[in-house]
Amino acid sequence: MHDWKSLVEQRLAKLNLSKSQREEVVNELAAHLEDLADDESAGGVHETESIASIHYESTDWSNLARKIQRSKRDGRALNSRSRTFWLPAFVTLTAVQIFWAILISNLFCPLASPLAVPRSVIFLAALPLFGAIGAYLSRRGGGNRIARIAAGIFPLLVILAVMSAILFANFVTGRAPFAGYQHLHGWILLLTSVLVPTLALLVGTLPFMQDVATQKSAHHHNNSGEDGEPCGNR
Amino acid sequence: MTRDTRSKIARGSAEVAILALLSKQSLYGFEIAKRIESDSGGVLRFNLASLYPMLYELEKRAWIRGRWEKNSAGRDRRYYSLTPKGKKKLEPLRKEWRMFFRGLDRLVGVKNA
Repeated sequence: MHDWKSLVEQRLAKLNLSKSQREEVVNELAAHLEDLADDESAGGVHETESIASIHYESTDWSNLARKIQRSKRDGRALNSRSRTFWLPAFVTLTAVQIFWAILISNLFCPLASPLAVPRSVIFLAALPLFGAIGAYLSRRGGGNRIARIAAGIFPLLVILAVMSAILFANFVTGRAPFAGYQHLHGWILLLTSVLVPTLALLVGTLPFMQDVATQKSAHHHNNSGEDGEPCGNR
Repeated sequence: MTRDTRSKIARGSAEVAILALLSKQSLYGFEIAKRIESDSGGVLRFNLASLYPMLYELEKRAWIRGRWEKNSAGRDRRYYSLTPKGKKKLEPLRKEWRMFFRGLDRLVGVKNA
């Protein structure tokens, strides 16, 4: 009796997949040949004449390995981390920057009057929308909750990184952080420029914390009152 | 008919055949090949090199899902089943093929007349 597994393993030596994927493919193809051989021997065909053997000999294994590799590999241009975090995060950051630039430009002149709403309030009020954009894009790319939150609050992560770098630079150069500010001003600055905007962005991410499949299932359940189709977790 | 067109038709028909078969029950690779051959009266045939790349492609599209289970002989086999996404995809594909054959039939009828 053939050891189909080791034979397939040898023939698919060039199959460039992860170890687990490779093992799965080898096991599956070996099982197919095993079934083919068993099927024939049950019909009285001698092992040496078996189509399984002929099949094994005649298969273009390097072509098969190429085809399997193409089929198994993720055809999407971006890898998982880029889809679920980096791309949504940079879209959010860019959108926030553009919005801020518009807000402080002359386009918002009418709002600059003392009676109008301060720019910072408009900015804060709009932040949930940007958080929502980041979380939505991350969820669409298949991101988990942590990725969605991180993508949504990414602009603030950048600000925190910049502030940390300034503090570190001040520490190294021996200058007092927030020079010129009183102690209380430093805390107010931290609160208004980091904590409150973070909360605003977080609020925006909240509607996207639920998985699409769960949402659809709940929606379907509510609408029909029947059991929906089983949906896998994304 | 060009080789490319022929291969596209063969590929498309094989896809819909697999999906239609799996819409009835979960099967593993060897069973899929055997069932398609017997149910199509030997017109459609799969071998190792044509079946598995297609199954993996359909799995990548999340139309089917593979899961290791023991078969009736107690051996581990990878059973494929249709996903909700695959179920949704099957009906439009069936419709497309019906239209294709109807059109082809009309065309052949006109030519023969």
